This record gives sequence, structure tokens and C-alpha cells, in this order.
Amino acid sequence: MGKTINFTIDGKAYTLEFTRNTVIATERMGFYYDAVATRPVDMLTTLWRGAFLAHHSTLTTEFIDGLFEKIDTHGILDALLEIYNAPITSLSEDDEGNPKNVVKWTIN
Amino acid sequence: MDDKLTAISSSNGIGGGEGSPKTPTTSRELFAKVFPAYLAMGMTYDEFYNQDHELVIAYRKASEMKREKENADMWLQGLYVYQAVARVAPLLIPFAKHPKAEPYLDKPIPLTKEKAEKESKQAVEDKGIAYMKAKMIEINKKFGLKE
Repeated sequence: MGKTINFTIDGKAYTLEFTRNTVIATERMGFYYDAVATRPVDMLTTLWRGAFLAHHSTLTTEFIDGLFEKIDTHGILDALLEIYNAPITSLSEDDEGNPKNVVKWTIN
Repeated sequence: MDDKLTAISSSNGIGGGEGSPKTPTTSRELFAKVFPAYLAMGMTYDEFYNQDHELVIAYRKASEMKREKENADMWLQGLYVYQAVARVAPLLIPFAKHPKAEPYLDKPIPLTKEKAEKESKQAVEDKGIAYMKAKMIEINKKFGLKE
């Protein structure tokens, strides 16, 4: 099962997930991974909107932005980035879900 | 196919130089680069782009299992060919007097240890039964009884 973010607002359940097509669509909307550090607010907004495309594509942008105002935003950016990256990292994971070809490193 | 899949996680993604493969800069390019490999595994466009992203892990594992099975099937076929050639080999010896080929295997080669043990046990039983029958015939003949 793919990684999802689930919550309920006003009795309605919402599932945020990224498929490969919605990852592409989110990038077309202006999301740029490397810009998360320099423009976190813009990227968070775009990422939030993109996360609805897989299961709630009929919702308007205004409605989606309104939902953001109602949720607990603590840690939401990291969670969104995790589900955003999932379709990409799954292409290079082994069967156990571990990244392939990684070199372990230590700090001294 | 493996080269395409491992290219994603390759750390030497710095492009440059003539003839070097272009490193994907967007997700779209990355997905388009590996998509043919998954198509070859039997994945559909919808499964790859719209369904559960972890399907690719299952498809990779299934592809590996399929290759192992095909390899085992080819090995087994080689064994049958080897058996066939070995059995007719006496006919290939030049100037051999009265060459005689052995008959081809009368049943398939058992593929599991349990089947092999069962066949071996059955063969011993059959041999015992044949021996007892032969003995019975001999005794009946000796005493002039009907077979």
C-alpha cells in the first residue's frame, strides 16, 4: 500500500497521496524539490495542493487551501515530502524497501 | 534492464561530456526513462503512473522469479537432451558390434525431493512384488499347480 496522509474534517475523510502522474503534475504546478529550503512556504502550498490530485482532483484550490488552515501543520511539510518522494524512491528500493547502492557513513 | 533500474540510484549522476547519458532533471524524465523496463515486465501505463507506487517492487520481484524459473526450465531441458544423447550414444560408436540404444526415459524426471523418494520407494516395492510373483510361478510349476 502506498504512503498516504489521512484526516477527517467536518465529517469528510481525505486521503493525500502521490502517484507518479500527480508527482509530474505537482512539478508542473511549480513545485521544485531543491527550492523547499529557500522557499518553504511556496513549495509547501504547491505540495499541499498536489497531494489532493490523486484522490480529490475535483476540489477547488480555494477549498484545498481552506483545509490547510484547519489542520495541525506541525510536521506536515516533512510528511508531504515523504509521500511525494515515495513514488520516486520505490523505483530504486530492494524488495525489503531498503535503498539500493547506498554507502554507509559515520561521523567522527 | 538492470542497468536502467540501477541508474536511478546511481550516485554518479553528474552529467557532462559528449556522449554521456543525460541525467534526468525532472521526475517526468526519470519516470519516462525507467517506464520501458517496467512495460517489459508486463506493467501497464495505469499501474505505473496511477496506481500504488509500490507495485514496481512486486513487479521487479516477479520478474526475477520468472527469470529464475526460465533458467531452471532451460536447465531441465538440457538434462533431457543429455539423457537422450547418452541413451543413443552406443549407436554412435564406430565399428561397434551389435550396438543397442537404451530406450528413452519412460517417465518424466521427478522435480522435487519428495517425488524422487516416492518413485525410488515405489521402484523397490515393484521390484519386490515382481520377485515374489516369479517365485510363486516357480513354486507352482515345481508342484504342478496352476499359475
